[in-house]
Amino acid sequence: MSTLKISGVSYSYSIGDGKTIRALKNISFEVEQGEYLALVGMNGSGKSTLAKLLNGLYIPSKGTVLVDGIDTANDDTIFEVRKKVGIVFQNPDNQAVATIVEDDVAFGPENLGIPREEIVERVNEALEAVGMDKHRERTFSKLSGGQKQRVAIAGVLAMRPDVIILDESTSMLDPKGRRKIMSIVKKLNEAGITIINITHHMDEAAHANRIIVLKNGSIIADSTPKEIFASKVMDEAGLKLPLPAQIANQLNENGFNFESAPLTLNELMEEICQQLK
Amino acid sequence: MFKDISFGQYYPANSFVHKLDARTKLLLTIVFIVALFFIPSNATNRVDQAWYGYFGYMVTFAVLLVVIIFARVPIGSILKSIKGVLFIIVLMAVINLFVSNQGEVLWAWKRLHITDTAVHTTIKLILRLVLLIIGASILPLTTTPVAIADGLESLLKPLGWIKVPIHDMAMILSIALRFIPTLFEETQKIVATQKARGASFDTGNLFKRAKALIPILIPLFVSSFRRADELAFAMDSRCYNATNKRTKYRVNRMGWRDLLAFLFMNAYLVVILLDRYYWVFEMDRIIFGGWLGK
Ligand SMILES: Nc1ncnc2c1ncn2[C@@H]1O[C@H](COP(=O)(O)OP(=O)(O)O)[C@@H](O)[C@H]1O
Ligand SMILES: [Mg+2]
Repeated sequence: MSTLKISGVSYSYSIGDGKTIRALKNISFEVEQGEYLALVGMNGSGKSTLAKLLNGLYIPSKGTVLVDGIDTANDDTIFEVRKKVGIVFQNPDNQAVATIVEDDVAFGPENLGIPREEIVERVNEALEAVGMDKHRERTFSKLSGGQKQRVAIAGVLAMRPDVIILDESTSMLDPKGRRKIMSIVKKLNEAGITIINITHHMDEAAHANRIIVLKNGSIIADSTPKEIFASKVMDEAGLKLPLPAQIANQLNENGFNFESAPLTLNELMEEICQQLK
Repeated sequence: MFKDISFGQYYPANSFVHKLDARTKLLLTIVFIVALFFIPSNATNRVDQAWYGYFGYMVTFAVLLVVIIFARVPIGSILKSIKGVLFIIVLMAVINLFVSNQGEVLWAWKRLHITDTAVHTTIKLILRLVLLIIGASILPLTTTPVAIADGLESLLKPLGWIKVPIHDMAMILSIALRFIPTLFEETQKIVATQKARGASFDTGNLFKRAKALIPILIPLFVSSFRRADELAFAMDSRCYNATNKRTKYRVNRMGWRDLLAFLFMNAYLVVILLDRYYWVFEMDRIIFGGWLGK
């Protein structure tokens, strides 16, 4: 069980000549075990930086990140943190270390020095969870993009993490691969794993229980999808609303009265029918 | 352009050869190559007859046939590895065919001539190269690159005592093998893009052609560094270097199969050596002497 506690975190990149880029400014929030959180914001708003702060790939310039009470700035316990918080990155091609699928999934547990019998168990379990057990002996580079990302998820799952962060992990996939990943992620969340999905696709963000909106390194909103999509925050952050919410807004200007944003087309349709009665 | 490169073309199956320890296969590949080079393809000062060497190649062929049957890999995937170097084989064969002055001249035109000795040495040269490639392709076809890297790491362990970072080298090898197909794919994409912009890679003199490669190499380098950066984050995320008591998913254990394989391949080496140094090609003469003259 891991709670993430981010308090007063700032992060600056130094870019030589003593100059710095302030990527994150005084960020605070908490994430409970089992939440499904979406992190949205324009390019350069600091999402990836935040992801890397959450498992100690970066250490805050100011403030603290606590994972289950463990400070990520503490070198002695950094691997405890990384065991608990896994990241699936954007490019399906740049995360695997081994040529064969099952060897790659085993990489994390091998690093932890786990006995072989248990590694086998974990690899089987992880491959099954992402539906890749039939492809375990295949060559990684011959898989489709979606399959590669499923292997990347399995690689993270084999560490038995409490939290999985997806940093635009679906952005290079076709719609089919994207849907498959989203359904796997949903299943993992239902099994109790905390999900933090960083995404540009607002229909993906609509799946979350909670959305955090970043702008220029600051949090400008932190609420449920319904509330966020009904407010002006998305506009302010330079983001597009998902289609159902866009339509609802248009309808609002034309005499309809949506109190909260519909998340799915079904919801939208039902609401329209209600209001037409 | 790079379609035929069969790096790490592992063919999954559950055969006798697949189950051999990677170290066994590495060592026996070396035994095989050594044996093959003891079969002469040029005239030796001890025997200068058309038929010498053919017995060795026949035995080698039989040995490879047995190995392939026990490896259960399709002939097609083996032929593919030959296809990749076919051009080099043909080139060497053609050169070889015209250079020899020994023996009876079979055909001549202006200053070109082919002798019977040249025909035989060329046939033997082709046999040697083809058998070498087939033999060497068994290891990558039946062994995953990770297992090969692990096997090398284990065989080279003694170097670790003199502080050579064997484990890191094995990791580097494994990652290199993993990224070779990715980088080839990327190279092809860049070539296609530059061609679409009007670049030409197969015209002009050598200097011009080399210069034409720059617009390929620079984007490739830039993207490789970016990939390396991301890979490093992914590896750190998955606790690389968490402990120096790293465990292994794949187990290397020698068993009865390895013993059999050692006996089989070393018997082959012994036969080749006997034929050359003890029987002095007597076998070659008995089997092939009749119809290859003298
Ligand atoms: N390695 C780096 N060096 C310098 N600046 C960086 C680096 N990575 C990101 N930045 C800068 O930090 C800011 C936030 O970047 P990032 O976290 O990648 O945003 P996002 O993932 O939301 O697109 C941007 O202004 C970006 O230019
Ligand atoms: Mg990013």
